[in-house]
Amino acid sequence: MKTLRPRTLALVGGALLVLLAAPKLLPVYQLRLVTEAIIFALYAVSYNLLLGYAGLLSFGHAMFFGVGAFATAVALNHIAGLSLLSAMGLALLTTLLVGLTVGFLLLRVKGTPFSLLTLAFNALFLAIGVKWHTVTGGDDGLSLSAPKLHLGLGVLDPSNGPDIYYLTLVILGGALLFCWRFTRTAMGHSVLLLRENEERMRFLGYNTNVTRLILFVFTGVLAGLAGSFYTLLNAFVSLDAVSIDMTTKVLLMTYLGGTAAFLGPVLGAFFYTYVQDYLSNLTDNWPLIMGLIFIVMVLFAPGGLSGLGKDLAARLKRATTAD
Amino acid sequence: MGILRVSELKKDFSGLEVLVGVEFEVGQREKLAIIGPNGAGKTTLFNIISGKFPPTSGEVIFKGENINALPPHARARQGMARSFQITNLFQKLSVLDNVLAGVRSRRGMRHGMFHEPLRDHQLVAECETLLERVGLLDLRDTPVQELAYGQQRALELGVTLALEPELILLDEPTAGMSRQETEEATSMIKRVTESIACVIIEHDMNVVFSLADRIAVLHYGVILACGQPEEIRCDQRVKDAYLGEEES
Repeated sequence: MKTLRPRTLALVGGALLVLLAAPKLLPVYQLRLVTEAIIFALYAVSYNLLLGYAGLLSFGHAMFFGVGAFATAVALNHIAGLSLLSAMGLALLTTLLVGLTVGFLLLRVKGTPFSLLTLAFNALFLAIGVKWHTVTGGDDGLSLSAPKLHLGLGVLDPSNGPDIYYLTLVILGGALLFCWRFTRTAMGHSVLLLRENEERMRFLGYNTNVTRLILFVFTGVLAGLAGSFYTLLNAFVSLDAVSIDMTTKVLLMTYLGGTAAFLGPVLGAFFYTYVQDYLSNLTDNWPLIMGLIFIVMVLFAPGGLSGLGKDLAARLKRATTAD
Repeated sequence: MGILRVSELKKDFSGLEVLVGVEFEVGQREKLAIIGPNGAGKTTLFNIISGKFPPTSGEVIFKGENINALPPHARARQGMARSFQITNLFQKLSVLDNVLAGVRSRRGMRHGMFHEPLRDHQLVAECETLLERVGLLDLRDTPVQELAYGQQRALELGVTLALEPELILLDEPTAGMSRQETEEATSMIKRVTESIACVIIEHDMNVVFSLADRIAVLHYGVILACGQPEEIRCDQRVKDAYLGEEES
């Protein structure tokens, strides 16, 4: 049985303190960036459960992110007196239904056809977003004013930076922990079997269609949750949330961070958010530089940032044991 | 009554008749070896029995029920397990994880999102017992891709046994092994399958004669002869078709 070493405990405790104190330490704009990075961290981790853990390359993850984002805005705009948590609940339910429907239709396809069909479904949802003007606002997007969240101890206002930060930290942080634990559960083990050898799995009594569907819906709902927070953070949602760009973004984050480690996509999300922020201040052509970084990473560090970290740790260890 | 009965089994692959009316029965705890030259349809027969693809016509009866329509996973859950001729494991996962995949499946812990299998001591202990039986306990944390070939074959058997099946289909369990490895593997198979019915495809006649209670000779899609090892050894048609070829 593994027990937490004191050093790990100290690290986790320190990180937790920094995260809790962040609103006191950071200016408003910086705090917003951290909040966004946490949202994208969940988005990327959910994506990596498909890509890194199950070996399923999807080009359609933004459909879940977008559905979660739009469902939140639509629910809050159209249902009077709806509480914040109920709006999120509705958004998750909507992504769940989308995941079940699309997942069911995609069960029979694998490999490249799977990737291309997810792209097609993403395009379909984008088209719905563009055309269904009355609901989605089309190119104009939807703005909203999120209701305050009344807790026993006080009131959280999503339009206030520190409040939305804490809300994101608690709920999405919790979701991230759940994902981490997920990788060790029976279902998490089965996801690895799916990647390694689906045929053998079937001959061992697994209905792999069920495994795939559960995973697809689970990761979709997580992406939807991230999307819902994206809407709340911006008090606005546009077609950007369901665009192919949003799908590419999660792919970049995940690869930049590394698919082989659980924390890889978290690193990738923070890296991407900050680099994008920095570059877009310098030039409008920031995607060009981001693309170059991506190419260099894929060529020279295919393990991503987490891979580089592991290499470094291994070298340090060798150096210290050599002394 | 036997545990498995195959009747009038036919299989066409776009006009090519691979099986043309195969019939046999396997009794409880019986070991039936299927021998025959390459291309006789042995692996096709296994694929049909285990549900990889359906027969063109004919029936597979398992424990008294026609299972033609059942997908592979449903057959596995009813107590039929198979091993593969080409090692077919979860290469990047550890030896323990591979056996665990089978044990979890049998116990219905396939998709639980709250249960952590490696923290379940009983479950892990069960896997370790199984690994001990196939001689791999020392290697429990080694990734399969780092195992020697013979060890992978042993694990193949271990994963199959993890289902605690009533019937095992073994597809050339000693293929590619040295003489010594083959002898060890044979005695291990004998030991671990003592109370289980088996259908074994095998080319090595020493293995066949030491494991099988009965032998069926498959020749160009039909069972040429089926009987006790001694009868088969002396059967003139079998000698002409198969056994003779090896000596010449």
